Amino acid sequence: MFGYILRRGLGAVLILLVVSAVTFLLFYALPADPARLSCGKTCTPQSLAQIRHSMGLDRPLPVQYWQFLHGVFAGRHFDTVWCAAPCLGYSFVNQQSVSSTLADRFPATLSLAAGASVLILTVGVGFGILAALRRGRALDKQLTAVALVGASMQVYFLGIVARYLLVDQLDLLPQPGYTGITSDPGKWFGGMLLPWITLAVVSAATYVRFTRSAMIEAESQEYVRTARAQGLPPRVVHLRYAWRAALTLVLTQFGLDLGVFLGSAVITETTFNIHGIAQLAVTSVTNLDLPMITGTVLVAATFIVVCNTAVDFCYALIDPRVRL
Amino acid sequence: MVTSVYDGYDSDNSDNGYDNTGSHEGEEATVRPLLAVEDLAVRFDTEGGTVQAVNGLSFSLRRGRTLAVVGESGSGKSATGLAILGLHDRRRARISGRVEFDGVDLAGLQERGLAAYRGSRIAMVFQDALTALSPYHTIERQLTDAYRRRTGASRRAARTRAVEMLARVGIPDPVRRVAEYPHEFSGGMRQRVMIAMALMGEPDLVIADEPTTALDVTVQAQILDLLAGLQAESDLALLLITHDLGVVSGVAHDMLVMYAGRGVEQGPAAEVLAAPEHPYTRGLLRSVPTLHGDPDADLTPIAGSPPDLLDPPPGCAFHPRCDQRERVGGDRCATEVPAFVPLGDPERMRACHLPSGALEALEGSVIR
Amino acid sequence: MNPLLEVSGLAKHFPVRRGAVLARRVGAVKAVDGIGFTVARGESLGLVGESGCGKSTTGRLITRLLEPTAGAIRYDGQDIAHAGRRELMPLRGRIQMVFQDPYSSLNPRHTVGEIIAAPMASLGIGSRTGRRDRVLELLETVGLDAAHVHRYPHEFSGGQRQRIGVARALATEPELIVADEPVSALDVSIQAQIVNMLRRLQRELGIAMLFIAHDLAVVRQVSHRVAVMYLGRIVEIADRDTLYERSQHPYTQALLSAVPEVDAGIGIGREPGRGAGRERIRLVGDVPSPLNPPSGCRFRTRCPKAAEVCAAQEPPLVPIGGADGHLTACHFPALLPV
Repeated sequence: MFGYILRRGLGAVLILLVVSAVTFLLFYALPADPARLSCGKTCTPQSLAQIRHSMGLDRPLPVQYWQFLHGVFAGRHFDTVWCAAPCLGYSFVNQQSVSSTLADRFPATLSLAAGASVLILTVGVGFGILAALRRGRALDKQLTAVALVGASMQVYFLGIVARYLLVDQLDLLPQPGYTGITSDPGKWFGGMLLPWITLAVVSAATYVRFTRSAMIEAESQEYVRTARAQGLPPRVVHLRYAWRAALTLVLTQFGLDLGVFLGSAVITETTFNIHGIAQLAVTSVTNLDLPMITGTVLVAATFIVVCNTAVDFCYALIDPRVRL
Repeated sequence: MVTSVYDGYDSDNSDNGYDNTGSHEGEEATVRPLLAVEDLAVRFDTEGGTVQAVNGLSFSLRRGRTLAVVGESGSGKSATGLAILGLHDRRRARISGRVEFDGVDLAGLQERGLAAYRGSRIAMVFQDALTALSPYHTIERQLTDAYRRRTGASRRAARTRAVEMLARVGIPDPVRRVAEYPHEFSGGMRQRVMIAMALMGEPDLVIADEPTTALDVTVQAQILDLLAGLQAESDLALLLITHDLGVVSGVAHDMLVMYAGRGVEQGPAAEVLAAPEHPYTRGLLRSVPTLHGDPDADLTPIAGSPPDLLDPPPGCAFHPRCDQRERVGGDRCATEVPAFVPLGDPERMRACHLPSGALEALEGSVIR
Repeated sequence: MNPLLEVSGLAKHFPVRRGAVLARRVGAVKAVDGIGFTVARGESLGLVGESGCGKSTTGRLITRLLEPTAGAIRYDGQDIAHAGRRELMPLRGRIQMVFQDPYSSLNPRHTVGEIIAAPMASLGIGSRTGRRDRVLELLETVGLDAAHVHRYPHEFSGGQRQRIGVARALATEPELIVADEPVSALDVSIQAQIVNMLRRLQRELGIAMLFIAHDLAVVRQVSHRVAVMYLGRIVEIADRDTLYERSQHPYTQALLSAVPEVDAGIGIGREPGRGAGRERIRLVGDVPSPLNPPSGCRFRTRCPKAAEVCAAQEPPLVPIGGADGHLTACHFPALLPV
């Protein structure tokens, strides 16, 4: 088990190195010159060369990449500014190190993802199991219908309508927005509530349907029949034996969805005015703030790699055959 | 249904504490079978129509006996085994008839009532232990889960029993192996685990559905020996569902041959195998290649293909493939379903329009 | 005369890797581990053994669906063990395969006519009309109604589908057919039809056949010679009658003895399971994993005759007994006492 984790960890690092090299190449090898971009309108050749030197852009590309890596692990100097490890670069647009900006923004996105995931999984999977157990009966049909409506909603539409009704008109929920969890947990929770519920309604619907079909498929497994033939009560047969098989399918789906979730975070963050990583990525692209773009891409990649590793690890926990 | 005792448990089917020897006239009690299936029918609703998997099947089985239910795919033999314990998906299958086990009609019980029989008095052994055992749970968990729930035994006591059962079915080092997962066992050992699982509740009846079909011959022989040994030792009734006549010959006392959902021939295994009275049984016996027949002579297959269960042939379902229908006058075979009736000896039954003894007169025993 | 097929030292090791990203080789499944045999023109060789013995892998190596790890496959004098796609092309029509599963081996979206004509079309044999005539002729040969040429596989029963599979294999007039468990998925009554047909076609058309099966009684019906495999090795090979009546290897003897047979004189007054007419040899345990086969003779862990020498030395496959071409790999070969 330990060896497995170690190998997976090494694998994750390898993937991140490749991703960083690719983004580095893409952005720094492009015709857009970061030095010129940070130089401004009244740019003399001298000051351009100066900036180029301070950004390290006058060195060969491999050296630049090496410096970048060095910065990630040990920190580096940008001219006179010291950028501590893990240093992902220095944004000359906002005159701030990329890592500290990311550290400011990431908790908001993480809060959004984590809370929504918990809600999606409990509600979606719970109702999905319920629908599967009551297959063909009224409850199943109602749940399936509700799920269909939910799945056809979009975050930006449902979010704006819900915000107007629940916050502005009825005053049932506080204004959405992000507050640091350490500074005011109550406000953090209140501000995240509407985004979480909106995301849950939209995505949990998919999970109801998915879990339902995964359960129904699992019920046709022969060992589920064996469990019945042993005289185990239906509750145990379903929740201990059938659910284990369905769980692997649900988990696979969830692993894939985490990536999708990050992709759609731009819309969610904009809808609810949450200043997270996705918004940061969009502004960086508009400003052509290349170090910041590299930083957000890397953070997103890390997030996905870490999540997938966690999912794989859960696999090994659930299914003894996966243990390597 | 003459005595008040009968009336008593007819109205209360779930009373499984009923003592079947105590309140009966002695002679009736000794011959009364442990399992009596009467007019069993299993229908499946499919997209193409209704499949009549089992159609008016009757048979009985006593303690200490092995009855082999023999047939090819689609004969309804497996559906019969599952119907006894009500294991069909109730949403898809419709079951009618009586399944009387130790005086109680199991076919009339709901899921809750059946649970009292499953795994305790009636146990099942399935064909492929790799898919019939959960890959996610240890052997201990799978063997003791139902046992603990039923008996209230402690985890420790249940494990001890599981280890005992594993040892009884010949698994080496059971103390260590009980903590392993099914995929860590070889095919033969896994099938032994299935059998150990069946023995956990000390059943009176074991239904084994093709228990050796997924195994290699050398391992199959071991498992058959094991089943026969356990059966003799515990006075079990064993319902052995198989397609392999060689297996029947090795372990069964009696046999019932099924075709297209109906019983076509029944009797003591040795008699049926030596002198089949139904053209289908004879055809099956002759189509099996043996190690002792003339290898240069052609085999004698049964012509044609198995019937389409969505649209079975009228009359005797076997008639389109039967080589004896010319000997029955007119088109009786194509219009009239032959009754499953005794041939003199009440143990020996057959469903065919041919006169009794007609096949034997033809050429004697089919066994070379 | 040279044999049509000559296999020597043939081996296929499947590497076992662990880890997804940083895969490393932790061993190899020695599915086939140094076997040799010949098949003459028009001869039928049976290959029997239990699951994991490597018989199916052998079939796939000979049809070059797999590339061997070592050894030579000499087909009509030409070594095709490592031949490339281009060199194999002309051979594709000369070696054909019949598969076990008549359900998954036929494309459900093609008609029977298209399925049977496919190998001819891909090899550019005959004209369009010529191929159509050939398909009709083949349907007749395998006992199917030529009028069904436009039907789809799902409209046929298992036995009929296997007939379609055979017709497809015959389409290119092959010299060698590799049949991998062609009847094991079929019901007994149908199995006999297909066995008879394969035997008839093999004899009448003079096609050489490698018949791979686990059922010894079936193999006996179709083979001139029989090879018995165990854990990737051939343990005994002989002509049919010698193998079934005078086998010298304890594994062959155990296999033959384990076949459940409908026996004359059984049943009446007999305790079930307590032995039929003949004394049975009972092997203990299961076949060991081919990932880590026993040292020396691979059968020794289950062999009633095993001695120290068996663990130390692997017995070579050598001529034994009187019969021509009877080879056995055993330190203590002997006939069964009668």
